Amino acid sequence: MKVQMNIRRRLLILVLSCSIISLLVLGIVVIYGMFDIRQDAKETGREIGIAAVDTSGKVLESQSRENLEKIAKTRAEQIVLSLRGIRTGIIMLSSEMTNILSNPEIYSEKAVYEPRMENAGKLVPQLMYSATVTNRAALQHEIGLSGNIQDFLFQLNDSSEIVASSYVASKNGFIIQADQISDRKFDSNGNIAPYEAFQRPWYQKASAEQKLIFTDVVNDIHGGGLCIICAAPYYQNGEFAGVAGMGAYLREVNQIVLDTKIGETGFGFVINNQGHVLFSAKTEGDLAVDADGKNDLRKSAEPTLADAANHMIAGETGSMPVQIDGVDYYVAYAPLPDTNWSFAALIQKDEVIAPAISAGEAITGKTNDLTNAMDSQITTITIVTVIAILILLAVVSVSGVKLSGRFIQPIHELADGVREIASGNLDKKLEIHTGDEIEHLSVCFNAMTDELKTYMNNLTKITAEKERIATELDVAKNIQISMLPREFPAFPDHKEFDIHASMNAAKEVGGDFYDFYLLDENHLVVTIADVSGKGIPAALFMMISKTILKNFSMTMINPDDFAAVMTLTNNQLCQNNDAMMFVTVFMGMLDLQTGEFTFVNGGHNPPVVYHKATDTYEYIKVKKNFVLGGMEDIDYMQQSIKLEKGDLIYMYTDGVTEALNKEEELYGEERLINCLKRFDQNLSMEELLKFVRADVNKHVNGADQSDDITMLALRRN
Amino acid sequence: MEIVKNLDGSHLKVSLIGRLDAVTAIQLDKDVTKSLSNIKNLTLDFTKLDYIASAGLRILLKLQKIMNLQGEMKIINVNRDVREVLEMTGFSRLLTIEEPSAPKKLSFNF
Repeated sequence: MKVQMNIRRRLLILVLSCSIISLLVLGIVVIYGMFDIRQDAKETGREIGIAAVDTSGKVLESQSRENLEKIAKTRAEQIVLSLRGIRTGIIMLSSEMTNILSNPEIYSEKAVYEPRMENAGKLVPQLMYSATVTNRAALQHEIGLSGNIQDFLFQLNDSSEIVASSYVASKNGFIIQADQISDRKFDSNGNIAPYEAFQRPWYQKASAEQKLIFTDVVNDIHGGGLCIICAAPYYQNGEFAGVAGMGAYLREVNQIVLDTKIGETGFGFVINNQGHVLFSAKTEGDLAVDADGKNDLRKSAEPTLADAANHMIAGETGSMPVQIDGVDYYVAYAPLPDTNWSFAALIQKDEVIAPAISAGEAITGKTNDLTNAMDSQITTITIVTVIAILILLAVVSVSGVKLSGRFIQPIHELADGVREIASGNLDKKLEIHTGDEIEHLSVCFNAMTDELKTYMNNLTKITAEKERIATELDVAKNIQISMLPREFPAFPDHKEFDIHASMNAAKEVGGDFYDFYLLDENHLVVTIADVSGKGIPAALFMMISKTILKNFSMTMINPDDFAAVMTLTNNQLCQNNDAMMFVTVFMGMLDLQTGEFTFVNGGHNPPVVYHKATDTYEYIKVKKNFVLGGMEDIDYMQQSIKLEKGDLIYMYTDGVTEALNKEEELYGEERLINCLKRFDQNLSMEELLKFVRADVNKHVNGADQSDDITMLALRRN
Repeated sequence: MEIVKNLDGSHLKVSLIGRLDAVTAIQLDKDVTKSLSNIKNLTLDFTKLDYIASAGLRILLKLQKIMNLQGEMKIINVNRDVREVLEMTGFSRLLTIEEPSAPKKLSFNF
């Protein structure tokens, strides 16, 4: 039962562990794969974001720089156009004056009036003199001629709001000026103030350069804000005659600059060739309007800005990155040629690439959305996988229990059948039809049962046979033993000698025998012999040997023929001895009267003789005649010794001297003779044999007896 | 008992190791008797034979009789115990027992 449970448990464990391992591996692979993909997606999204920011940033940067340059150019053109109106006016004014002065014949003199207080607020042309003029009358012709320009001046002023005043200043020290501030032309005493045109920068510059000029921007003395004066020389018959000028408000230019709004942070500014900021949307910092003309942008603390200023003052068109107060900007600039100014437009770099950054952020956001979606997906899949695995495991467990039960069932049947067979029912047939190894096993069991049945039948027969043989052998052994003289004392009437013999057969019947008998009243024959081998053959050969020896002995007439008995017996035994059996024989004959002991030795162990006179034991020196039955026509020699009264002869077979102990040591001749020496001569021959036997047993010490132990002792009294 | 056989043409050498008693005698009989066809010379080496029983003697006798018909048999290197048995039973007179060869003395001719 235990084994079956083990198989079942092992099957279960096998199935379950295989399933668990497979499912775990699968689950781990799936989850790992999903996390890997998620990580990839995240990484890729991040990279795309970075690349998008980078690429689109660059594109945007280059595009916005282009745009910025375009804006700068456009704005610069607008400013130039605005200034050109002024310029055109001066060109027309100066050429009209040249025309008038050079062609006095077609113009009549016109009266020009000095300033009047009541004209304040009205646009009127007014005449003023320099303090240097001493003879005003000498100038009246020229003044009258120049008076023809009054209408033009009036119209020039009236045509545009930006014109503050327009005027022509003669080299001879008067000026005709059209404006609305007649009241300011007087000194504190109410006299008309002199006007020193020669000292004015516009006059000095235009007369010096002999071409149209723009002055620096100045705060208008009339309070109209920033103002610029455009001036050009006029001529009389090719000779310099004076300077025509016009003061113009730069509100439009300022507006253009202020209107330059580029995105959230972009703005514009204008610098002149001194590096001063003329117009700017900024109200503070380096780029605020430098009203006083103190700061040179080329000396800005921001090196990039200073660099940009240099480019601008050099009249270049282009763009570059700059840094203002630690913030990155792009600046694009374009020159304003008439005034030697330069217009610049700026925009913050961050704003330029803001779309790229927001695009990048959008991509990152999308990626995060994707990753989050994947995360929740992964969680769902993981949960589903775990549930699936648990369900699968439950299914596998249940089906594993059922399946293993099904596997085990035939084994149970097999076990029951085998138990029945074991209890003795050899006719039991196992009926298992599972079509697998177990069916094969049951078939083998059936075959084994059949074999067992046959074998047991045979065994029964053989055992019966063996028992019969054993019984017969026992009978044979009994017959063999009963052949030997076993009644002691054997010769109660003969007190002149004491004889005793014993044979302890080994397990099976053996070939030892002894014999003794009286030939006549005076002669006792003793024999001890050992047939080669054991068993029935030896026993049969022993019977024949004993019988033949005795027969020949009994027919002997003369004691001298004692050896002939052996010779004849030998020849008899040799006939038809195909089995090559032989027997060693010691046979002796005691003359009870004389003590003469005649003996013949046929290959047997020499007996021991005790001489009472000397109290010594010795092995009889026997002639080494051949065994009996071995070879035909062998002559045996007889010998004789004399036994005095009290002397004894001890005869034995090799079962004594060759008795083995467990260490396989032989008892041996030496132990035997030493044993005999310890024997008390007052005891009988029966006691002697027991004494020797006890000593042999002591030596053997419980080891199996391998050979017959046969002894015969004879003492002459 | 162990039986070692060395066949050199028609010369068979059998070395016996251990005890030749009633049981092992049957083994020797079966083993050697069947190998004797065409054997002219049979040598039994008793160097390592410790003991011989009468049953063993019977096989020696049997082998000797077979070899008498087809060649020669000799026994070599017989130790003292076995020699005693062979002599006592008179077998030493019937069998050819070769004395252990004494070590040859070196002779020098100067």
